[in-house]
Amino acid sequence: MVSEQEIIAGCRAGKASAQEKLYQLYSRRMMAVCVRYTSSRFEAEDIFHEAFVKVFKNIDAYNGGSFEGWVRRIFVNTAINHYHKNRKYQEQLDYSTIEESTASSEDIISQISGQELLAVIDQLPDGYKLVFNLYVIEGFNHREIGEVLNISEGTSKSQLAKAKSALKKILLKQQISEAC
Amino acid sequence: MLTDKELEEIRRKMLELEEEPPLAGWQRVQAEVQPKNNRRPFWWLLSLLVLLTAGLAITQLTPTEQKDDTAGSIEIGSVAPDATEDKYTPKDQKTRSVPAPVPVIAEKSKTKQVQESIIASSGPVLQKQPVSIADEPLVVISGKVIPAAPETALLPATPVTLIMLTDSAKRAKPELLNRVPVQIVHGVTGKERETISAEESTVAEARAGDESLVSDEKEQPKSILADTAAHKPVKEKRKAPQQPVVHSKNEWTAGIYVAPRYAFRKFVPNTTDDIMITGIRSANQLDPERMGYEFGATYSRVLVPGLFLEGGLSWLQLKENVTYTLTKGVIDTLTVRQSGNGQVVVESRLLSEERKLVSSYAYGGIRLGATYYFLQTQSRRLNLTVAGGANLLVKGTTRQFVNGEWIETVVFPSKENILEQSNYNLQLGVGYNVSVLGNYELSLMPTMSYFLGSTFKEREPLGLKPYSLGVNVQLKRRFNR
Repeated sequence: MVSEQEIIAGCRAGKASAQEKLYQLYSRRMMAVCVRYTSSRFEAEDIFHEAFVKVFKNIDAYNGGSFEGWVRRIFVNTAINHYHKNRKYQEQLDYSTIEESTASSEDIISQISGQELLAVIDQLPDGYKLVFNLYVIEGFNHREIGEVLNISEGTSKSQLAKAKSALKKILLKQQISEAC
Repeated sequence: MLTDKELEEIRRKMLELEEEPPLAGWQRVQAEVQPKNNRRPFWWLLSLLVLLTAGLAITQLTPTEQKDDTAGSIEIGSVAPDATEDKYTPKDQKTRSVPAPVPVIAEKSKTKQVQESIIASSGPVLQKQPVSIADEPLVVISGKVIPAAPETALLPATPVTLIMLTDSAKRAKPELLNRVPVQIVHGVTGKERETISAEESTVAEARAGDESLVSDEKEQPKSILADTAAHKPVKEKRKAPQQPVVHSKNEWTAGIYVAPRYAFRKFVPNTTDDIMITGIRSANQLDPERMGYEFGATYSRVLVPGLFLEGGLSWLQLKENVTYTLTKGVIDTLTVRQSGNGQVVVESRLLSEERKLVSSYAYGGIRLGATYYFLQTQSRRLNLTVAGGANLLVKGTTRQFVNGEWIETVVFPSKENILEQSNYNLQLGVGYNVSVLGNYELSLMPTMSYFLGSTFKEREPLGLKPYSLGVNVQLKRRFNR
């Protein structure tokens, strides 16, 4: 069994076998990252390809710490860049009318699978989904989100609040439909 | 609003989530990360050819002792005389029988008196024969003194040993100057022997500082000194460093060459956003349909010793074979399905086509460059050539196939643009040259040519920059104005 460090060293040396092992090791998890940040499989595959190439070409820049975290960060950054490039084509909807809900969605979250949860998150508008992903899953703070998305911290907070609200509404709707 | 606990649950599930990566995802990534893989065998081959050429040349340029000893020359005087015996007085001359007395020669006669001992190394016969020679060298064979061979005569193959003693009438204490081994080369003409003597003289002059000879040689008449020194052992002559060949500034060469050329290629994007190339077949690097050839004529002249300015005209026949798939974003089929959570998923398949381009180009070319010769000997030398040139497309055809079906054949150049498909090229080569038939020279030079300018340009959504590897076989003739 080859260790992660050996794989990294092999990749730095340009060995194709090590690169393939690295790909096999992270491709499924990173594809999930790409899917989370996009609205179609087609876009996700584009980001996936671009980000993996970046990983291999910039592996010398990795200087310790969680390697998976470093790889994931490249994928997230690539997804953000992709978002910026395609922003003009994305329909910006006003979700300000989304109603606040106070009912508990804890049960439904624990009951549904990751894939189903992903499908729920995917129903969020792109802007909300992006802030939600960055804040809740990647652990960015609002200042960092503001910097990478070129928005203010306030906007980030507002987007996150609306994302949470919208997500809860969708989950509750799904809970009701399943109960029926 | 989702609670922190709910958000943490979402986070955990999302981080554990896995998705199937794209089909052939690794191949696509690998192709971009390691495109050099395809070229690696080519560079390896080029390096091998260069090393092979250099190795062959070095082997050929380094003469071995064994070779010299059997080259048809006889070397004698290998037994060094005792230095104390060499120093004897005239008184000794009368009493000593060996070596025989050296007659004193009047300076007026300008004749050198030589005592020659002849030892036939192939037989037991040992003969001593005083010989008087004037300006012409004499050869003593089996006790018979004969004049120098005429121009066309060949000396006998019998190995003989000559020990030549010289003296001068002016010497107060005549001494045996030197027991000089004399080289007799058999199987050579008189003219060639003169050449050898001249070379030996050069070596002798170089050895003039040799301490063992200084005291005697300084007093010797120049002609005798030269004569004496001219008979240094052959081994010493051969050990002397090989003199580099100096080319006359008036030297120029003309030659013809032929070179098989295999075209490699590099793809460059040349498309608009509405066309996407989805695949290029480039795996097969060794396609016989990409084998072409070049032939031409060259002219070169000396710029500085060892460096030639070279120009030439060429005819180049290159072949190409490219297959790629593309889509213009037109939807071919739509598939509608319902996912497990009731979501309707619409999947589209884009219409794509496979284009195959089989091309053949004939170029007329002009090239200008520089050739540097190094490791030169009388008959062999290596060269490094760097050149650049322009290729004008004389005639070209591209047969186009779409999804395996022939569509049309495009003929180049078009009347609207006669310079279409013309390009520039850079060439680098390292060659091995050997003299043949007097003033002729045969050259074997592996070369790499890189073409600047795409061969497809605006006609296709991708550009193609071929580079070729070939071996120039060239015959040149040297001239002096």
